[in-house]
Amino acid sequence: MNPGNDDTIALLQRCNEGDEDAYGELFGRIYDDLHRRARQWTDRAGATLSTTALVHETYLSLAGAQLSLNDKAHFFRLAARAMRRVLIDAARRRDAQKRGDGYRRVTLDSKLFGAAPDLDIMALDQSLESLSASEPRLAQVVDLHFFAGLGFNEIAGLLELSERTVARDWRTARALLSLTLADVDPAAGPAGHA
Amino acid sequence: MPEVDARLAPLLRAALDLPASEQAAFIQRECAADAGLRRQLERLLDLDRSASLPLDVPLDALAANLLGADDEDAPDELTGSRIGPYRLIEVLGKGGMGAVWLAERADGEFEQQVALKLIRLGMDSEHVKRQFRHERELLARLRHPNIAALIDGGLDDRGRPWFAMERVEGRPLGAWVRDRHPDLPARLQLFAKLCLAVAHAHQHLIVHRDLKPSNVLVQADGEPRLLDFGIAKLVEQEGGEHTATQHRFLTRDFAAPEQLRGEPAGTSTDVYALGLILFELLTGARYRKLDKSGGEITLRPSMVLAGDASGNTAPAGIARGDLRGDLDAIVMHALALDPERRYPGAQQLADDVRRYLDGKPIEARPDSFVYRASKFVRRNRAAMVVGALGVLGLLLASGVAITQAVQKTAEAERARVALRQSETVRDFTTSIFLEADPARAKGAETTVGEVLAAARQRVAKDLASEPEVAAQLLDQIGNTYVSLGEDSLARATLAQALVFNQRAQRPSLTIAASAGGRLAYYRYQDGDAAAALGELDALIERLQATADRDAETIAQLAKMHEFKGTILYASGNKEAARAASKAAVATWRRVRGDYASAYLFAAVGLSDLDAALGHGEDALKGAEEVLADPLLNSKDVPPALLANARGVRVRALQALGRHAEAEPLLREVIAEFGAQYGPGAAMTRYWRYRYAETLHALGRLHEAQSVADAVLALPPDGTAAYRRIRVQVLAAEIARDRHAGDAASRIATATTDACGKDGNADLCAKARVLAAPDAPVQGEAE
Repeated sequence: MNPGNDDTIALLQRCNEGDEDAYGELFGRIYDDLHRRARQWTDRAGATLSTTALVHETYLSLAGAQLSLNDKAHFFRLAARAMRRVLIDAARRRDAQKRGDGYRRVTLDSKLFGAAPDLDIMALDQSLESLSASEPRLAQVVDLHFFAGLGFNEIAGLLELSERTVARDWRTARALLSLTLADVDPAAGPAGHA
Repeated sequence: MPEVDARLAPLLRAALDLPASEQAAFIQRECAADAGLRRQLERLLDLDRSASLPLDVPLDALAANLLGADDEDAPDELTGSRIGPYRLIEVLGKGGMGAVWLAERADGEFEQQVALKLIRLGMDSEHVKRQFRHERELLARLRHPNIAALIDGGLDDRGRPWFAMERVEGRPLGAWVRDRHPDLPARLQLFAKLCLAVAHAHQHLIVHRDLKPSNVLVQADGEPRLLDFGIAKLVEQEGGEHTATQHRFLTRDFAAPEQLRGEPAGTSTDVYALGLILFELLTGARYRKLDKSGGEITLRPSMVLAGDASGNTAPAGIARGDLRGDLDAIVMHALALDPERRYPGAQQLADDVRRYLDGKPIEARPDSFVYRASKFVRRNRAAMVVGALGVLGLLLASGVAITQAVQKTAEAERARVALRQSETVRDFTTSIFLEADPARAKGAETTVGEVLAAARQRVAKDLASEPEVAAQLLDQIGNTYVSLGEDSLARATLAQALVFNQRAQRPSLTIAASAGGRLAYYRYQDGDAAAALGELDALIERLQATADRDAETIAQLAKMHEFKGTILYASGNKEAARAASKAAVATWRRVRGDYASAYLFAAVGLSDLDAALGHGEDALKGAEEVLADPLLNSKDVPPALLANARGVRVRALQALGRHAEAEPLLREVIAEFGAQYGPGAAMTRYWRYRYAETLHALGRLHEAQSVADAVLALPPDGTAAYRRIRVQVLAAEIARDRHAGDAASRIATATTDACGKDGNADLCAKARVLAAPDAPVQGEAE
C-alpha cells in the first residue's frame, strides 16, 4: 500500500546529496499521495476538506514519525509545494475546460465563502515564484503556513528559527503578496498563462 | 505579474520588528531619498493591519472549490473514475437530473453492480448536506420487493449528490406494454402492485413525487420495480426556493396540479401520478398530451380509447366498454383536481383496482361522484392517518391494542370505555394528521419530527381527560423518538406517559413497563447502572406476578430482560448478562407467534454473547436454530436479521477455532452487510475486521494484511475510536507475523493509540505484547 518509510528516508538522503532524480521521485510520490487523498475526500460524503490533515496524513503514510529534523523539514517543504501543485493543476484543468465558455478565471468567490477576498491561486503561484527568487525563506514560510497548514511554532521548529521570526516573515510575505495580487483584476478573465 | 521592489521585503520586515510608534521615523529615515519606495512601504504597513488579505482566505474552502470543480462538463471522461466506493463503468442513461451510470464496487471487497445516479447540481450549505444525509438514511430503510433499494448515497467532491441503487434488469413500463401487449387484467395486476409499493413507501413517510412510466421497470418475470423513490425530494431540498427547484426537475407530463402550482407534494401527489399512469396503461395515450390544461380532468379513459386514431399503442383487446363505468371512475377519482377528493392513499387506489378485478363493487362509484368521493374521504380519514403515520405505529398500534381489549373482556362497561377510547384515538390522530398535512398547512414540508411534536402537544392539551389514551399515545410517540435517536425528547415524552398512566383509573402495566423500562435504560446511560437494574428488576417482578398472560405483557417482560442484559454486559458483568439474555430468549419464545423477529433477534444476541464468552458450542447451536427458522427462509425475513444470524454463526465458528469453515461464510456476511448498510458502515467494517482475523488465523497473512489495511484506509465513520484501534492492533500483529518492514512502526503506532485516550485496557495490553521483543510469534488471534 505504501512504499514504506525506509524508502522515503533513503530518497531524502539522496536529495540531501543533491540527487535531482531522488527529488523528482519523492516529490512525485508525495504529489500522488496527496492527490489520492484529496480524491478520497470525495468518499466522505459531506466531510469538510482539510488540506492540513491531508498533508499530515501523507507525512504519516510516507515518512512516519522518526525522521531527523532536517529530513522532516525537507519533507514538509516538498509536501507544501506538492499541495500547492495539486491545487494549481486542478485550477488549470478547470480553466482549460471553461475557456471559451465566457467563464471567468477560477477565483474563490466571496459570495460563496463569506467575506474573504478573492484569491487567484495561479497568480499566487507566480507571485510566490518571483518572491522565492529574492526572498526564499519568505516563500517557504508561505508554503508551509498557507499550503501545508503548519502553525508558526511547527514551522519555527522545522526551520530552526524563533517563532517570532516566522510570524514576522509571514506578515511580511502576506502584505507583499497582497500588493502583487491586488494588481490582478479578477474580472479581467484568463491571463496569458495556463 | 507586477514586479515588487526587492528592497521592500527587508525594509518591511525590519519595520514590522519595531513598535508602531517608531515605524514612521524608521520609514522617514530609510526612504528619505525615494518617495515611491516610501509610499509603497506605507501601503504595506497599512495592508499588514488589514484583516482580509488574499492570503487570509481559508485554503480549505478554496481547495474544495478547485478540487470539486474538476471535469465538470465532461461526463464521458468520468468513465472509470470513482464516486464514493464505486467505479463508473458506462452511462446507462441521461436525464434532466443527471446521468445514470452502471457502476461497480471499486474496492474489490465483493462484487456488486449498481445503478449510480449522479445529480447535476451542487449542494453547498452544511445544513442542506445534513438534511440530505438524514433523508438518505430514511430512504435506505425503505425495503419492498417492488421498489429498487437505495444502497448508498453521498456527495461527490463537487458536492453533487449521488445515489447507488440496486441495479434492476427490466424494460421501462411503456416499452414493456408495447412489446408484450398484456391484457387488461395483467395491466391492472401490475398497476395494483405499483400502488402497494407506493403505499408501503408512504407508510414510511416517503413520497415519490416523480412517478412516471419510465421510473417503472418491468423485469423478465413480470414483476414491476419502482426506481428513484424519494430522490426528487432529496434533490429539491437544494436551494430552498421551492417552486424554482421543483420545476427544474419535474416531469410535467406526470406532475399533479398542486406541484405545477409549486406547492409541497404529499401522498396525494403520488396518487395523482398513479392515476396518470393508469390512464396511460388503459388507453395507451398520455393524458397530458391530450389535455395540457392541468385542470379538472375532462377526458375519461373510455372516451380517449374510443377516439384514438393512431391505434398502435392502444391496448389490444381492451374495448371501450371495459373502461366505461368502474375504470373511468377509478382513474378520475385518482385524478381529482383537489388532493382531498382523490383516493386518500395509494393503498385505497390499489384496493379499488383489486375490487374491480374481483368483480366487487368499487368505492369510487361513477354516480354522484363528488358527493361519494367526499364521503369516502370522510369515512376513510382513519385509514388516511394509518397511511401517513404508519411509520409511527401511532394509530395502528393503539387501534390494535384497543381492539384486543374489546375482544378480551366480556365486561360491557369495559368494552364501552374501550370503544370510546378508540374513537378518541381515531379522531385525535386524524386531526393531527390533517394539521400536519402539507396540503393544508401551507409552508414547510411535514417531517416525522413535526408530526410527532404536534401529536405530543395535542395529547397533553386535548386528552387530559382521557389519561389511558394519553398514556398510550405518549408511550408510542416516546418510543418513536427512541427509534429516531431523539433521546431527550424520548425521555420527556415517556416520563409524561408514566404520569398519565398513573392518573388512569386502571394504570396499564404494559405502558408502565414500556415507558419505565426505556427510562431505566436512559438512567443507566446517565451512569447509574445500579438504579437502572433495580427499576428493571421491579418491573420484571410485577410483569411476572400479573395475571395478564397476553402477548404484549409477555413481550414487555422479554424486553425488560433484554435491557437488563445489555446493561449487565456493558458493566462488565458478562455471565449475568448471559443469564438475562437467556431469560429474554425464553420469554420471547412464549410469544414467538406474535413476535417472531423479536424472538429471533434476541436469540441471535444470545448466540453472539455465547461466542464472545467462549461458549462456542452453545453459540453455534443457537445460530443454527435461528437460521433453520421458517421466517429466515421466507421472503419476509428482515434482511438485518438474516445478515446478523449468519454473522453470529461465523462468530461461533471462530470461537470454536473452525476458521476454515468460517472463512467462506465471512465473505458472504461481508457482502450481505455491505449490501444492507453500505461497505463503509460500522457493521460492515466489523465483519471485515473479523475476516482479517480469520485469514490471520489461517496463516494467509498477506490477504489478512490487505483486508485489515483496507479497513484502515476507510475514512473515520464517527463511531467509537477503539473500533479502529482494534483493527490497527490486528494489522500490526499481522505485519509482525509476516516480518514486514513496517511492522515495528505499525506496532509503535498501534501501541500509542491503544494505550492512548481512545484505546482501552484490553487493546493496550494486546499491543504491548506485540511491542515486547520476546512476544510469541503467533499471538492470540481471538
